[in-house]
Amino acid sequence: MLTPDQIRQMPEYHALTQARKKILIPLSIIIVVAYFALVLTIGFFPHSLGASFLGGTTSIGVALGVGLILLCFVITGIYVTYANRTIEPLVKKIQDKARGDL
Amino acid sequence: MKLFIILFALLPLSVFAGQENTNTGILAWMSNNHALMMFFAFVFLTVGITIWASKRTKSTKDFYAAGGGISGFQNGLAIAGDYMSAASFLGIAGLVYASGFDGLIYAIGFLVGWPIVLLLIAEPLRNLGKYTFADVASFRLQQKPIRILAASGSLITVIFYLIAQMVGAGKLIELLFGLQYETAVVIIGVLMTFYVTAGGMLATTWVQLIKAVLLLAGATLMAILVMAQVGFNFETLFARAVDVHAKGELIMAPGTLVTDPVSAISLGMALMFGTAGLPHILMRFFTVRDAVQARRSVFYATGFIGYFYILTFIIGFGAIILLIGNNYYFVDGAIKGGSNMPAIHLSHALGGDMLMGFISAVAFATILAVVSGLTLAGSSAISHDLYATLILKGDRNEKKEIRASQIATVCLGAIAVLLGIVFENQNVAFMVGLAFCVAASANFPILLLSMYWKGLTTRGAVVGGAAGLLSALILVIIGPTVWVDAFHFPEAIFPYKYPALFSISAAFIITWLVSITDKSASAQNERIAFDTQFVRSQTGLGASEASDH
Repeated sequence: MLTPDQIRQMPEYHALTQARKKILIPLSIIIVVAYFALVLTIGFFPHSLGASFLGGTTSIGVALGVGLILLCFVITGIYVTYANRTIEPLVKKIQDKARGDL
Repeated sequence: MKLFIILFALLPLSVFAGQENTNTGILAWMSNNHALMMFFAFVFLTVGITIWASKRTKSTKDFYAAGGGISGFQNGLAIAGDYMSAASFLGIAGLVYASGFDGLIYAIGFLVGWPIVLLLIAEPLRNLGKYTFADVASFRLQQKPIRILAASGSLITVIFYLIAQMVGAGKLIELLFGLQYETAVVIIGVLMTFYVTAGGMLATTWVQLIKAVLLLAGATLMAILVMAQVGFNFETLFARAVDVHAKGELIMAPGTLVTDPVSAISLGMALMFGTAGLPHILMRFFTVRDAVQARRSVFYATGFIGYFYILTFIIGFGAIILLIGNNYYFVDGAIKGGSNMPAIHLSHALGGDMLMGFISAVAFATILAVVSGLTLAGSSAISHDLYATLILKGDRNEKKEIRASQIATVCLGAIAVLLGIVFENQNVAFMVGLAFCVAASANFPILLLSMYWKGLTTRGAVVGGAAGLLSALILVIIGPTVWVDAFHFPEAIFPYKYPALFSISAAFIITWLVSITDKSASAQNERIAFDTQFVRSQTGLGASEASDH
């Protein structure tokens, strides 16, 4: 069993923290910015959201709202796929090494 | 335990008795008792599960975390069950019916917190904690002050949320079954206390799972029936709604829910960050085996919850096109039963008594499941964070801890019933908003900083967390909703309805300021301990070992 300090020296640990940063920061920024862009539009220009989307009764506000719900699916989907492909193998490797199986 | 079984034998009698005495509710025009039958089917099924679960619940790990053996998919569904409350089903559908787009604002706000939970909270939480989020916050800080703070934040959040659910439930049952409001609240209180004290997390999880499946199935059926009316064309749905609604085209744009930019941002922040601070949601992550299953849980939960809100939006618009103009659903020009009932009436318009009975029973099941989850989170804050850590200290006695939790559950049940009766006429959506505001201001900042910021110290966390908690409470009290509407003062001291923008900022800034100026030796040790904690939060090493004892 390796100590936490020894684990921190491992190249895989460095790769893991980098891989997490690479995905967490952009995805968090996207969802926060997208949501608060809608919130600010509601706060400052509520009427603009009532305008017609593609010429029908459906308004820009409703289209953006549903789009934001879909964006939540997309973001969680991207993260889970990335985590399974990239993050999980690194975690496994570190756990195996630390427990002395390798 | 025996007492509960006797209570249960009496329960159907009291319901029928109540029905005969006050046969003035919707029951009178419900020509048969489908709702009542389905309601009893659900109660008997869940009571059976609870008795089964009580035989398997022996250790504290069983009681708080269902033994840690729930799968990611099951947990995702149970989280969705915990989160899709009757307030959101009936409330959002009612809000969409009344003003269209405004309902969507709430729906989106309740959903956008989930990517944040997935990206920042779920995995490190599972890797660091055992039964409550206080385990994580106090991982490298001093146990006593941090647990008192976290338990206070948890309890206040849980109590506000409980009041909202109890009031909503009491009103619904009063209307559906013609029961007295007080009787309805007492029945819910007794049932939830039974589920939680006897079956702990295992019974609570199964109640959530059954309810989530029922609710998703019922809402899906309703949405399909609505869309069939408009040839599965959204444009037709919206066009017909705009034609018949008194507000016309205004239902397609923001209305009266948010009227100024500060309130908009404040409400947005409370909804987005509040989700990541709700103790009953955070607790669910300790029921799965590891961080991988925790991640999977949120993925499924986000899918179910988002899908559910889209259904709710369709149901609200369906209520506009199918109910307006049909006098059967109106009394003196207003919808029967008040603003939360359009979804129930719509089920009648779509599928007659049978579907209405089913949807009503589902709405009731929803309330029971949510209050059970909340009560379990509240009682674990008392027994695990306060009693076990502060009073038992090193003397780890699982039996005593479970006993304390059961006693706490009974007390919380009594408090919930009492406050539910006292706050009978309080606005439900506002109470839920307040719970989210406290969670976002007191719990979320401390949880997030304890996991990601090396500089956090005990002093900073305690002062900052308390500042978030108190500022949220005080600003609500001196704001328009309480100061003017409840206390009847002519003018509010604090002009905005939602204080989250100020209270969340206060929590973060004060925590940061007090932490960086903390020069004590213990603070220095806490900063050093962060590196070890971070290794565990990232890799899960040491996590499984710790949750075994």
